[in-house]
Amino acid sequence: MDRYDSPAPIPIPEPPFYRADLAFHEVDHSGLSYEGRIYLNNPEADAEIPPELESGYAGSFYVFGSWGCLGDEGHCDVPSARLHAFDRRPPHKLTPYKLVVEITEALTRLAGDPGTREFTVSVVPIPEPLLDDDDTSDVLHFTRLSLLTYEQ
Amino acid sequence: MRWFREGIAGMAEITRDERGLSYWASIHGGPPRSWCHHGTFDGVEVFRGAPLFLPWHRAYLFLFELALQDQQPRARVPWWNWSSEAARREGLPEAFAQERVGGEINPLVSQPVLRGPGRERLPERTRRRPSPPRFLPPQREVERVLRLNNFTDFSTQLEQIHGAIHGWVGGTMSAVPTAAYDPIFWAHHSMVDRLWRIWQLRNPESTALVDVRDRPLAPFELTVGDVLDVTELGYDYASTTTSVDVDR
Repeated sequence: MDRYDSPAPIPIPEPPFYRADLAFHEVDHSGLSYEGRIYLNNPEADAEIPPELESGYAGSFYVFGSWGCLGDEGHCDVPSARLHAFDRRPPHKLTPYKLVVEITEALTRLAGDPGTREFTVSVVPIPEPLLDDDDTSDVLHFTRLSLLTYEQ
Repeated sequence: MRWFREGIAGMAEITRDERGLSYWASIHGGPPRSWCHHGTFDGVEVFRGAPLFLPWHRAYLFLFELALQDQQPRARVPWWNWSSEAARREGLPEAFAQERVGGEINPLVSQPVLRGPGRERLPERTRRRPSPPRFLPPQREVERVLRLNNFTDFSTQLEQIHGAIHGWVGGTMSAVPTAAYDPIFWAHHSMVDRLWRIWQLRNPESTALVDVRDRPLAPFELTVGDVLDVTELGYDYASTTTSVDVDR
């Protein structure tokens, strides 16, 4: 996807919490490297908006990508399971992974506003092409987003 | 830096065997080689819940430095303190950025990238596209991560900063298969390794990675346990140096 906007608002957990994390599940890292800028309650955010707390910026994650497949056909296909119980090889290098970004400051700020009870999440990717003609669209792929807060 | 430069230049001249710069760089991302451990959870980079990003890169750095010293015995891999005030003011270190040193082409600026079947689209040489220096992570961000006392937390968040530096340098440093061809890759990872060393000194009671001590760090003939203590590998990171001339 070219960007992510949460499809429905997320309720703000009751404070106090000493830490809040956003977890991005099964992040693809097979393509271009990119920074994923996270904004709360700012669906208008784009690459031009400065990453500052005032604009809803909550933090970034960084995907160090593999820039596509350099092997023969099938080299970068991630198998869905091990061959059998005796297959002791480690998982495929391009197995999608989970990334966690601490957003405590931004979420605490929202929680402190009595008129705000829920929030949206927007992720704006800033791709880093290796070649001038690299396709920088559609770099952002993950399957699920979780919010975790930790009580005092 | 002169010895490091000489070591890199010596390695760069070797293009057909395992002593060469391209051999070591190609280990980071393939194919045919594709060994590095990046990422944190749910994937290959984790073994029994422990992220292997830091131990794998320590083994890689240690063996690379030995190959470097085969060419120039006095060479050491320097660390690039990308969170220092100087870095956030000036960007890339001059030693890696100035095109010529003493009238000679500086080998730390750019190196050839190994190409071949399936790799024809790769650039012929490393190149950079650094972002403005102010976008480098500030020291307070590094300190925040160093204060995390859970190893997995520390490793995953340090890996994120590390990824940001790859992106900040840009160009060939921003892609796994080409990053290690750029000589600054080694100084970057030396900084990452140094931060892990500092974390280890601050958290001597940590039992992180103990359960995976015997895990081999392929393709190297070293295990996780072999690289936990840098003094066992014969090096450490000096925080200060002072020299005094002696009258003769």
